[in-house]
Amino acid sequence: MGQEPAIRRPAIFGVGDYWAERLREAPLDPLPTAVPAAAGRSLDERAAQLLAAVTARHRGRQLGDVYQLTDTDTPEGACRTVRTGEPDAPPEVLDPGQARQQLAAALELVWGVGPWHAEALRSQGIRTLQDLAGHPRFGAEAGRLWRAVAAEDPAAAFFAVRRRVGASDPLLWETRALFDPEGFLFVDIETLGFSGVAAILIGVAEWEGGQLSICQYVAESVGDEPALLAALAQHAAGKAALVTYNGLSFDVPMLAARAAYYGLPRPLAALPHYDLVHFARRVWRDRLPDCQAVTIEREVLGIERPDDLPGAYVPPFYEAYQQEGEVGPLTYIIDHNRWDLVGLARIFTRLSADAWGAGRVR
Amino acid sequence: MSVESLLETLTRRPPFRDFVTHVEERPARTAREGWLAEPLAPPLARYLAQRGLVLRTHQAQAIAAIRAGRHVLLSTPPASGKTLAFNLPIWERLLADPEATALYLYPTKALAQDQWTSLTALAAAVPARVLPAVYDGDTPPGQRARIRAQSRLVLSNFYMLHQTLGWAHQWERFWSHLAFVVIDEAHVYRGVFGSNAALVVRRLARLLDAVGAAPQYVLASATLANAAELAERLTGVDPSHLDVIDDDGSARGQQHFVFYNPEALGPGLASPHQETARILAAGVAHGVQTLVFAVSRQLAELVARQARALAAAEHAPFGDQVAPYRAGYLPSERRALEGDLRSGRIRGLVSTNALELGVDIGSLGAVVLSGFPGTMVSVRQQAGRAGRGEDASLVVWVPFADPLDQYLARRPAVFFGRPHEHAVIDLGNPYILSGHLLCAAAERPLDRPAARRFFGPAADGVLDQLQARGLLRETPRGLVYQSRPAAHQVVALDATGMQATVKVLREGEGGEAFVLETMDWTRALSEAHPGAVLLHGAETHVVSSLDLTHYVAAVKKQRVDYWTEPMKSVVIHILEERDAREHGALKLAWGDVEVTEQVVGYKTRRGDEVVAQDTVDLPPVTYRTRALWFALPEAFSRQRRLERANLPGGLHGAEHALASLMPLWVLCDRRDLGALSVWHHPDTGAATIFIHEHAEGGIGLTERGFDRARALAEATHALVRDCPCQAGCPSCVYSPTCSSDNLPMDKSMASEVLAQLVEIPPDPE
Repeated sequence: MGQEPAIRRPAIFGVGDYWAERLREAPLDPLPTAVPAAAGRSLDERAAQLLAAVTARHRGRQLGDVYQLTDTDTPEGACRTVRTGEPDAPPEVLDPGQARQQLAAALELVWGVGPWHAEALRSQGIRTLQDLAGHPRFGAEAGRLWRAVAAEDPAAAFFAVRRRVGASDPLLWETRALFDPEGFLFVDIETLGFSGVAAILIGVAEWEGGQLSICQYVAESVGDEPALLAALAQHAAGKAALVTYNGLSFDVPMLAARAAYYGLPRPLAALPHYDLVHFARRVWRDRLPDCQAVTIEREVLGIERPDDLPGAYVPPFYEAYQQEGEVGPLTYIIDHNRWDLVGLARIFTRLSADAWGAGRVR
Repeated sequence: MSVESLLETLTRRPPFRDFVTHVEERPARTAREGWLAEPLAPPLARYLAQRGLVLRTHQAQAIAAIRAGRHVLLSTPPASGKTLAFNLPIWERLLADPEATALYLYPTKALAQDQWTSLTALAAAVPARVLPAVYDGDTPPGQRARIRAQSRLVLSNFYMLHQTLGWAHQWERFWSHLAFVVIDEAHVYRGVFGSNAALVVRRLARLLDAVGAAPQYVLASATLANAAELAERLTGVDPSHLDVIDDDGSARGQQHFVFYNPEALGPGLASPHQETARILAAGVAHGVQTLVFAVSRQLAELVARQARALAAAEHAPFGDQVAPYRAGYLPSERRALEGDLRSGRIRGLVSTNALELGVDIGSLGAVVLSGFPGTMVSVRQQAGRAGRGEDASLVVWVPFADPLDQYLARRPAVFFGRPHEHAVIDLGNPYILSGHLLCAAAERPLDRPAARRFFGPAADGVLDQLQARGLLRETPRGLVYQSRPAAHQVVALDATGMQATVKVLREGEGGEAFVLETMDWTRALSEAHPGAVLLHGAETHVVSSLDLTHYVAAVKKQRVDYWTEPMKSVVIHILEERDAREHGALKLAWGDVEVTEQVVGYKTRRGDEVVAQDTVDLPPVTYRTRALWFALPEAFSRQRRLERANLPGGLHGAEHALASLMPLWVLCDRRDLGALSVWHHPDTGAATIFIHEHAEGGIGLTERGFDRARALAEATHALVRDCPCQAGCPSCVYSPTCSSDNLPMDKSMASEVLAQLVEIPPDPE
């Protein structure tokens, strides 16, 4: 028998150590292709340097020493909140009248009206949904659509259009002009992974008095997650529509899953939702290497983030914060999230400025 | 007709007849019709009538019990109509309550697909929107949301359920109206997989409890000594709410069950594989659809090859009518083979147990069991493949030269007697339990009372450890999961402890290496050590290196005509004795042990001959598990030493025979157990024989073995004492996989040792 020491199977230790080891070794969810491969299990060099730097920069400080910190009261307990303003991301001025015209002219929104039909109808002088409302076959639905567009009920118009077109359709984009800009809620969340794990920061932003007001609900531990979710629900209560980047696939289902986990009502479910990634792909896909938010910021808006790493580094930074008790890594996450929110508002504005071409129903 | 002529050939003609040691005639049986107090719902009654189906007694009992809201275990033989028996009352409920839903769980995807086909036919016959749907890893993502939203009968498996429980909010409609959980082939859920499955059921039950659902559990199982206990442990239902239905009222054709023992003319004179191939060739030549079950894929390939060679040697035209059938085939290849068998283009098929579970392959005239498939449950399942319907059929069993096989071959009364196998599920293995507690806490915050209620008293201590390590966090709602990635991603249902799959990399011919297969850690130690011959498909590979720190074995494809067997050194250290039975100075005990194994070399065999022995340099590996042990009286040992008797040889032989027979009482694979004997063990201070588990933490096998140890000792004593060999043979005390080449060995001393062991106090009832 050899003299080397036996390989002791991990199971020989306590089950806590055992599973901690298994979780550490486990492959993470597949990363989006544009994220560097090194952002996987272990921190790469740059991330490790940044982690060390932010930890050192804030060593011994409390979160309240770094940010203006308030507590938001919720039925699930108080929730640490960072409020800031961003004057450099003003709202766009939109003309609801023009949007209404565009939408009214989209006869194709009526079920059963294809491009050929629409042309035929137009040649008969039926140019708007209002005109079509008298039609024996399409009248009833055209009338409903017209009333939704014409009435001061932008949510009804959004849902009426969304029923007929895809999430990236220019006609759906048109409906945003029907909303008061102050009614939009920009949302971006930070989590420990893609599913079955906790959300640790919920960031929201809205236009108030010509500037962007940012409000970040921060979990000091996973135990704060219900308060985060409740704070979001309170915050969204008066809002008219939701704006996210990839929120249809990630943020909103994730929040629904986390709320269900705690038996809380599902937040944001009823709001019209503009997921900018779909519109951005339609507009910039051919011109950019990819349509990640940071790429658009850099290539289209000309903004370079200082010291920013991909979102894939959020979980290890949060774990470092939890384990060391140093707020440095958490400040990185808060700053990163703030960049995402500001970028989100700017992309929203920029998408409006870039020309679309004529609206078309698929 | 042709079955009878095949039987005649086997029993009357040389060379076959010399090997036939027993023919059990299992008479045809007429059906007993069952009656219902309340007639079936009209659409279901019409469905039966249209197909000319008549209810049998056990089916009527099942319908009455399920209608009465009882949990039900159906434990009747294969092909007795268990599926119909539970489908009728379940569908009655689905008809009466337009919101009610049912979950059907199957051990394999193929079985779920098969059942889906017949359930779809039932759905078409009833005026209700049931929309049966398979929801498993193969379900296209585009269909999943619709199934969750609309289907009222979902067919799935435990792997999928394990993945899906974290998404309960997407299943709210389905879960909150869940009226039935059906677990088909329930006997499969034993050992490591069964213990994991039982904990998945506990996780489901806790989520269902939260949405106010309390389904009836309906299980269908093969015959076991403890089917009811298995059902209770698997589902957690109160025994007083469970009805066991096991009195089969279905018709059965006559079955001739032949024991064909290659050892009959003397030890080692005939090869069981060659004989199996010969029987298969005879079956095909008689025009009988014949299916051979081999105990391993290697042997399946070997038998198919030999049968084809026999055909070629005899210039017989049936060579291309024989094909191997393995679980490793692609689905399309499997479908094609199943189709060929049904159409008769293929008459002889050699399978591993892939075909054992009820996938429909049509009726077969004859089934040949090559070797004892490990359990009587498998024997019954495999024999049940012959003669579906009321036709006469033939089953031929070819026992190997191995203690369990030969013990049974010489005792048809035990073989055909009442079931004695216990299926063991252990909810207390801390490595298995802790993984599921992590998952549970990630599915819904877990409070302590609920943890105790659903996961048993062991949960508390495990939760303390998970919390102390920071994986769970105490909150006002209960413990929440705060680690990453998602807990279910690291918990595997077919493993305790470290799943540790070793990647087998095949070095390509000039190209890049690719993953040939993965195997679990302990298996890799024995089967993928440097120098080992690894069979994949029909191709042999030779292992060039095994890296146990990175879990990679490198192999090269190479044609060889030999195979290898590892030699191990094993050391056991007793950590804690949990229970004991004593008779004077003789002691039987079980408890926690630490096992250190090291593969030190391997034997190379060509045919049945050892042609070489080589050493390998692998580090020793230590793991914690459970063992039972017999400690012999010091007086006995001292006396034998004074007589200069070969006590170590006797202990060694007794150890082999005991470990070989233990699966007869405690359902497990022989590879799930290890054994060791020492003439003086430091922890017991006596000559000691250990039987230990290979699963980390143990899964209850030794605990159950402890309860059956007297029966085990008595049977083992009889086996060794009655074996006709002179100085020991593979049918009694020799083990072909012995790590020390069956040395030292003394058969008569083994018999003396065993005569001591039968003195332990009687087993509890």
